[in-house]
Amino acid sequence: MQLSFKNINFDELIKKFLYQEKDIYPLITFRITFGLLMCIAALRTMWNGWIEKLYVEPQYFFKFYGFEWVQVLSLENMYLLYIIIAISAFFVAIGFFYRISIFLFFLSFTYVELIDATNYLNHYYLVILLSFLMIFIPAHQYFSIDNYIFKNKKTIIPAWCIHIIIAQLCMVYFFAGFAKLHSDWLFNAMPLAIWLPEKSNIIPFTSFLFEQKWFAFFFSWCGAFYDLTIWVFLLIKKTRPIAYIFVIIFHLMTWALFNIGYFPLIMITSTLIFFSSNWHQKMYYYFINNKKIEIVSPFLFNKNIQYFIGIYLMIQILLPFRHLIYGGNVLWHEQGYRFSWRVMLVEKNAKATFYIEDESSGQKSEVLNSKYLTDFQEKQMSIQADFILQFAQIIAKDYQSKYNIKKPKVTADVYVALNGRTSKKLIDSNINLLDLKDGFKKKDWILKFQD
Amino acid sequence: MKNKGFFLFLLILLQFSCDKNNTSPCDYDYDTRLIFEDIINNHLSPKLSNFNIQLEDLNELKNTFINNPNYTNLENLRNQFITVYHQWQYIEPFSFGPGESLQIVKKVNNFPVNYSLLEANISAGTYDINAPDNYYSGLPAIDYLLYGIANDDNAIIDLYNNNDNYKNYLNDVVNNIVNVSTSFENEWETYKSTFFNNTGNAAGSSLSLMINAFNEQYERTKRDRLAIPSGQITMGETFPEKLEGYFSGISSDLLIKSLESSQQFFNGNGSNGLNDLLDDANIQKDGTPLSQIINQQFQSAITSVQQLPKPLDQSIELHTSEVVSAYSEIARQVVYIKTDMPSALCIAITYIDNPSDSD
Repeated sequence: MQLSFKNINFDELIKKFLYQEKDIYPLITFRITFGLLMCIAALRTMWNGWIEKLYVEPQYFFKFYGFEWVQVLSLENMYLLYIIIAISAFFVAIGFFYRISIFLFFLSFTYVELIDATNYLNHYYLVILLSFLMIFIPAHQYFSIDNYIFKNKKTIIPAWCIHIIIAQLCMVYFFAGFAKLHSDWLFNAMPLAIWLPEKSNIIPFTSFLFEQKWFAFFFSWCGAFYDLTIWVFLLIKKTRPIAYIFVIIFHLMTWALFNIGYFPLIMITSTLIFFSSNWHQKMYYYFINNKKIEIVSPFLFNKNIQYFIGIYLMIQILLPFRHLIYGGNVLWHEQGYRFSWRVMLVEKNAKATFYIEDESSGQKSEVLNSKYLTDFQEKQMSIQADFILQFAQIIAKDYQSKYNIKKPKVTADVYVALNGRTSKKLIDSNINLLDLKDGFKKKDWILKFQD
Repeated sequence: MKNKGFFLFLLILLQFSCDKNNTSPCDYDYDTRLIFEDIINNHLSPKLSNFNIQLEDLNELKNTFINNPNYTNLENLRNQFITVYHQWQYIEPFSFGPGESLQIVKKVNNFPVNYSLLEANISAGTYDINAPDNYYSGLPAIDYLLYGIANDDNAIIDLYNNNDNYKNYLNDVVNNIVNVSTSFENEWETYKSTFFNNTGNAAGSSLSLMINAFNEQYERTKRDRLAIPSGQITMGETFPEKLEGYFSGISSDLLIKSLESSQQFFNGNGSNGLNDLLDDANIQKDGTPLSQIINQQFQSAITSVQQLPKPLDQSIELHTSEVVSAYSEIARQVVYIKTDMPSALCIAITYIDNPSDSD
């Protein structure tokens, strides 16, 4: 058989990938596990007292470009917001007013994450994307409370409902693996060589391993190999069961070793969606024994859906490559770092000293960062250029309210030590940070990384 | 096909694991126990027992003064106080272990003293001298009680003669320091072996505790002993009364002592200090050994403070440019010890508590 692009019938492919009729069962498992996990995660945040730490303690918050308008709420309302997240997630799990619930979950969760960019984590971003996709997916048409209220039980859905989530998960893995293909990770075992010896007491009788250099290399290479390939092995029917065992082992291990919250659980549960509908079906038939109801909603098969999906996938594929536009070492300047599945790649130690000067009088002052920021915010600010700009504005505003400053100039000495190196200057320390505007344009005041 | 790939993968792996020549970071094989033993047995122990002996003398001279407040007794007490305050600087970096549980730094040297609160305590006659994080006890309170409560020595002595509340307060402050410091010495005796055996670079390991405490002490020196009083963060608006030892006028000496204390903490007493660890790991910055950079920076910081005219409270008003340059010598060190050293030794700065997960 000869393979060439000419022979591939794209219409046929799209038809199969997007519009083929499929059983709904994998989505049901996905809905229930996702909803329950998110509910528990929201409760955990409240239980741990993180709302106070993250939203009450800080006086200032760092913003994502374009989302400066997102404001923190009062303590009571923050709790209310988290209760909405928890309840809506639970409603998603049980399929109770599913569409409203998932939409509410998406909105409230996204709002919370936009309040302070300091707290950005890739797995929060993943939750935002998955819940966004779920708004459009009828994951409540089976095994849900809605079935009883609206009599809407249906077991057939178009393939895209499942495939879009599978595609999203594949991209997470692939890009996480792809980002590891650089010299720090592969040839210096960084930052695992820093982190693993710290963890030597976690798994009994293995501490001697964790202090070995080769062990960090072993972990680094296995991790990169896992991320780059696991999604392929999950897609192939024959290797799927073994691959899933590796999914469980890998994520449980990272869960034990690193402080990564519920991310491993999301991956362990959501990758079940790779399994066939027959596999999922058996579980549900144990609970409710009834026949397939082969009614389908025609609008789910609408031709325009393919454009929506095409655009979504294009964005998701291109975003992780946007750092190429900026050039240089993305681990250093962090332009195009977020929303790209770069996980566990850097250990940074930084010190940022800000100065404010009145250019008309020559009077100069150093700034005590801790007067404005929590330790955690200060740490994040010192390594991210957009936060540095925002902080310069915060400083200027405060000093101008206290002192008579006619021509304010804010400069900063920012030293960053990346992955076990000694520190280097991150930004031009002569530039007036108040003159700079944040944006997607390359920040040419960030100094080149010198190894 | 699959087996081949895996074999290749193993081969590459093997190649890296056998590469003994690499000078990559975190690759040091130093018996850190030697550092711990040196800093505790040869540095802290003698300094602490001396400090407690000096405190005992202070206590006796305090009793003499309270029984008979006169000029000679006041002068003797003051001199001993200055000795004690100097000696304290060597203890201050040890804020971990028993230092943390006893809150030794806050109990002994929370400055600047809140003298209006202190005066209110004296007039009320009731107070909790050992209250956590208060600013009316410890050495800063003695500084005020022996030098600051009135304008001249006669007036000070009169206050003690005429008002028992002053006597009681001085008595309570000194006794409290003696109590805290005695428990500190006792607790170190039992904590010692835990400390020596807590190797590794994890958060909470002895090395991490040491480096974090070292940095905390240094930042405190930079910020509280000079930056805040001399107006470095307030557009030149100075607060001389916030200097450590302001009333006795020994701020400049205390600042120098605290810098020397930091340097000794870094170098240890013998041949096993943090500096030796850096050397053993062959850590360089721009071609120079980091330990050398740090020691040179300590030297220039100390020299530049020594060159400031005394007393410091006048210098910060009259010699601003010299103070600024002395301050920048002190400030320059922070990058070396807080950013470079922990990074190269793969120690996390743990006093930053992450209130969420990471990824």
